[in-house]
Amino acid sequence: MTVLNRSPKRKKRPGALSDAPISLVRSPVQEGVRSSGGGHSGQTQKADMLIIDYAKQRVSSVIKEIDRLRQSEFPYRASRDCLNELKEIFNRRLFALETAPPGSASARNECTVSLFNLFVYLPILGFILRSTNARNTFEAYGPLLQLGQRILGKGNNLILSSEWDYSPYVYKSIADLPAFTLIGLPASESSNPLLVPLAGHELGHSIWASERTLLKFDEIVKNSVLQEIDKRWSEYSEVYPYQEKGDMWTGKTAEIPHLWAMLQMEEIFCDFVGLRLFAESFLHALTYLMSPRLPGERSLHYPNIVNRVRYLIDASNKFSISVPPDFEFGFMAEDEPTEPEKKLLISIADTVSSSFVSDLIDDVGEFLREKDVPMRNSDNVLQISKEFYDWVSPTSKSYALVDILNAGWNCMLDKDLWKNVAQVKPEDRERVLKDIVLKSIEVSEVYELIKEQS
Amino acid sequence: MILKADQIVREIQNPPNNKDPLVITPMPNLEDLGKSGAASIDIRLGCWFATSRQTRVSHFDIYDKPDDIPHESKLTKSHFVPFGDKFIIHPKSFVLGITLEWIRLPADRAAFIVGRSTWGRYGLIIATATGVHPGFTGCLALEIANTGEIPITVMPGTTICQIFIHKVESGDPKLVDLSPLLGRRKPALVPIELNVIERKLAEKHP
Repeated sequence: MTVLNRSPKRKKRPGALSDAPISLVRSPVQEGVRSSGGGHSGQTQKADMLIIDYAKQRVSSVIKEIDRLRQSEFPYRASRDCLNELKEIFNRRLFALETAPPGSASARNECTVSLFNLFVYLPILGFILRSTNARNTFEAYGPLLQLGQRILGKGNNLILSSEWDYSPYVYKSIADLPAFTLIGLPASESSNPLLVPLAGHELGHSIWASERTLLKFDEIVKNSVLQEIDKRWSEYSEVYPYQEKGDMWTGKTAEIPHLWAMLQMEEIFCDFVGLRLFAESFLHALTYLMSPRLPGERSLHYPNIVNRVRYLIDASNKFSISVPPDFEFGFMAEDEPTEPEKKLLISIADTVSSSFVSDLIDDVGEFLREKDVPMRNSDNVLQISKEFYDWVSPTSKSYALVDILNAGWNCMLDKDLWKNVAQVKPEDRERVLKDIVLKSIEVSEVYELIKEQS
Repeated sequence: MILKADQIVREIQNPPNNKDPLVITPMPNLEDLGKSGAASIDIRLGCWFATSRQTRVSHFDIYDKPDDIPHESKLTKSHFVPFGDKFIIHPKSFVLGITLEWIRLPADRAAFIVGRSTWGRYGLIIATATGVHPGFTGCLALEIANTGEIPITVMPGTTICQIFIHKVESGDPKLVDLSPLLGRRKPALVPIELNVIERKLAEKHP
């Protein structure tokens, strides 16, 4: 879900009304809403009228809010387009509420669905509003959109925004908004172009969903979990003494590590996408954002951070990406669960997810090669770094986003950067570098636009 | 001595000192520029603007205590206008813009920015702080005022002013511009700091 494996306050995914995994939470539509039963009393009828009236008012309020938001200054069209689609969704809801027979079970069901929609879409409205904030790295929008469209298809729209949550975030699998990828960076870092590589991880979630990677691995991971349980039967039967090999209870229990392994594999896959798209700069951005670790017990939906780092090193070797010498040492192992049941099941999930690392690296490599996504060009990175370093200037030519970001990180990590440049005071060094990186992205866009027109 | 356009082109293409070059990026069309016979380079409008938040502060007084002087975010609102979008400057209004070009001057070059008379005739006046000192690097903030009677539409990438570059023939080449305005891609307000003499003169005297 995010590049960060845990934040103190967990964010809910659209569609999830609790912290439970998305697949375990069913919408009222799936679940079917209990009817108010037969034999309506006068009081029930009165309540029915009130419920439907409230539901209509709630939906109307959202529609009015969307209309207000549409008047905002959107730097890019995608935000407004998304609002238009959201308005359509709520108009349909309002119509359904207005036409449902009063007092019927279906009317109550419509009210529940509308309420559910509010929970799902209101955070997205806030996200879209924040996409107008001038702190965002608007210059990076164009190249990221192009990258997203190259990977996910021309019809894919991108909304780049910020989150009041210290965690880059992607809203994924929004059934009613299939053409939109919504990526948010932490508000305090949303003006920092050097963290743009983390958007690569978030794009990975969209690839995972759109390429149906989940389905591809689901069955095989499930079997691997069962095999692992079989292999560790004596350990397993100590925790579950009443289960027998191959019985239905073992199958039921296996669903938990199966789910965790799948979630972990998605995160590993997304890390590899970010790495392949942005090379070394992804590793630097990840270290900046989350080293050394968060306190407390690790998240079960991610590999332990030290394993994540190890997998990234493996993938870097396959993708010919140079791992920064101190990368591995910037992280510390997170606390493993101590409760016997959880400890056993997460250990099974970890073993299974780790056995697929090599497949995931190959999958990401092949997928992005097919999409003709260029690798970082070391010569270009060197040339750009030289311009930044020697001249305190943005690039004078058009370069790929990945090359600019890597050059930015090269300079950021150079302790001697502009040491002898009197014009740049030490306290301004970081700000000037970030401005030069963003200006370089814009300069490249200008050259590309001119090239397209001629 | 003001440099003619063909000389500027030569200096961009083959800097006399590669460690301290003249940089203008994105570059103008050097071929056209070399043939233009002009003594300046046309400069385009960038994507960032800042407008006043008139209703949020009672006044701006640099003689107030530092804590009482309103912060930039209270005085202005930033706007990002992507290429292809319009920005309207209304009559009698003032906005800060920025050049699309990032300009870096060597230690022996200085420059000044002036508006274009083609825009000026419609009432659009650009740049009051025109001097650019040796060693400057960054985008140049443009102080844009519509002094005319009708709203004027501008778009990023449009030629809006011109820069004259001249040679600085004397002085210590190691001394360069230390302005807090350099190294920026967005228009910004920086605090106006009074020096000791200015403070003395601003004190109440019997």
